[in-house]
Amino acid sequence: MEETDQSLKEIFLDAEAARAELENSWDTNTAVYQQSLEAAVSAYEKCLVIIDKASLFSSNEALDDVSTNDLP
Amino acid sequence: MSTRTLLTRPKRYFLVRHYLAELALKLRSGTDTSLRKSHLATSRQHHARFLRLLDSYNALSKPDAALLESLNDSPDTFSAAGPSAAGDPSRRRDAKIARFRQEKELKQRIEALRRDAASAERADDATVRELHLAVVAQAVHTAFQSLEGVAQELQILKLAPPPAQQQQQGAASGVDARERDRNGGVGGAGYSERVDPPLAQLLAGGRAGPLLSKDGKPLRPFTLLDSRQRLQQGVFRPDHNLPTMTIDEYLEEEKRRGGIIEGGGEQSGVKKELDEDDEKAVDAETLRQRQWDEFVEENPKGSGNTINRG
Repeated sequence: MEETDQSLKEIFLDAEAARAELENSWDTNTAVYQQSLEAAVSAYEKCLVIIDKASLFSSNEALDDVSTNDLP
Repeated sequence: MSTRTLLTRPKRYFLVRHYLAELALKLRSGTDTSLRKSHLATSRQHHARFLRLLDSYNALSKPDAALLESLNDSPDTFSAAGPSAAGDPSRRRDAKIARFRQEKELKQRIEALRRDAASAERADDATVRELHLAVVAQAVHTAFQSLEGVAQELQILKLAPPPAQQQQQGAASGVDARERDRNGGVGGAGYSERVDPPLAQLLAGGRAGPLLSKDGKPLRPFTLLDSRQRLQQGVFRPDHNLPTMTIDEYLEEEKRRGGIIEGGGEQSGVKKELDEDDEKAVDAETLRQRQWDEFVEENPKGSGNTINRG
């Protein structure tokens, strides 16, 4: 579980970094932009897969139950 | 569950699906409307699941939860202003204004919280929590707005006419079966069962397409005309009548016609000398003068056509 936690964090941070790059660029039609876009999308999708496998979300929980550190 | 909480520190990445939904809208689709439609559908799905997840965590406010339900009920007509406001533009506007104000407040709160969290050495747990929750709330706002935009765009795409030519270099999902038949096989070179020419050609009224085939055989009936040349020549012409002769030539012409008088020459100075011995001439002259006097008497000055003024 620890490994998935760590790798999930890394992949998530990669995705966030790519997304931040996209927010800063203004020309959405360049190939570079589309590449960053696809990188971000695939990174987030990998996160989804890991989250799903690790069953991070539970239908029994409420938001108040989640501790602050676990929120983001 | 308990062993998990002991061993691990799971982080709930609530916003992953939200980001995926937003990014899907940025994917390039060019003129391929079906590709765009699939991107829109993906975005909607991600957002729907994002919101549903939050709902299962009781993280959605009551109005937001109701809004999510309206999305599930009729996704194609979704409006962030609520289902009842769908047809009423003033209510939609009010809802939009309220939402806009909420967003602004949220944004300011997030900025303030970020500053607090960054400035304090060990950020207050409550502050950090509030920050995360505010970010999620903002994402919810964005999600609903995106969903409304997606629904509207899908409606428009539904109404758009199917593209005439899908010339994608391998990226498209292949030529539609109907288009294949229409074009008559591979790239239009094959056999087609249609008898009439395609609608575009019919509407052109016999003006469309080539006249002769490659061998020189006529493909359409046509007539040989010359008026076309004349019409063509009539297009590029000066818009006024250009001069055809110089002024001198014109004056010469006028002289020839006798329109130029040379007064004050010899003839106006010469008077006929009356021979007093010639009776007839003298009588004629006297008669003439008498007639002139009578005429002057009968037509006093100022008796002509005064044009209503005298």
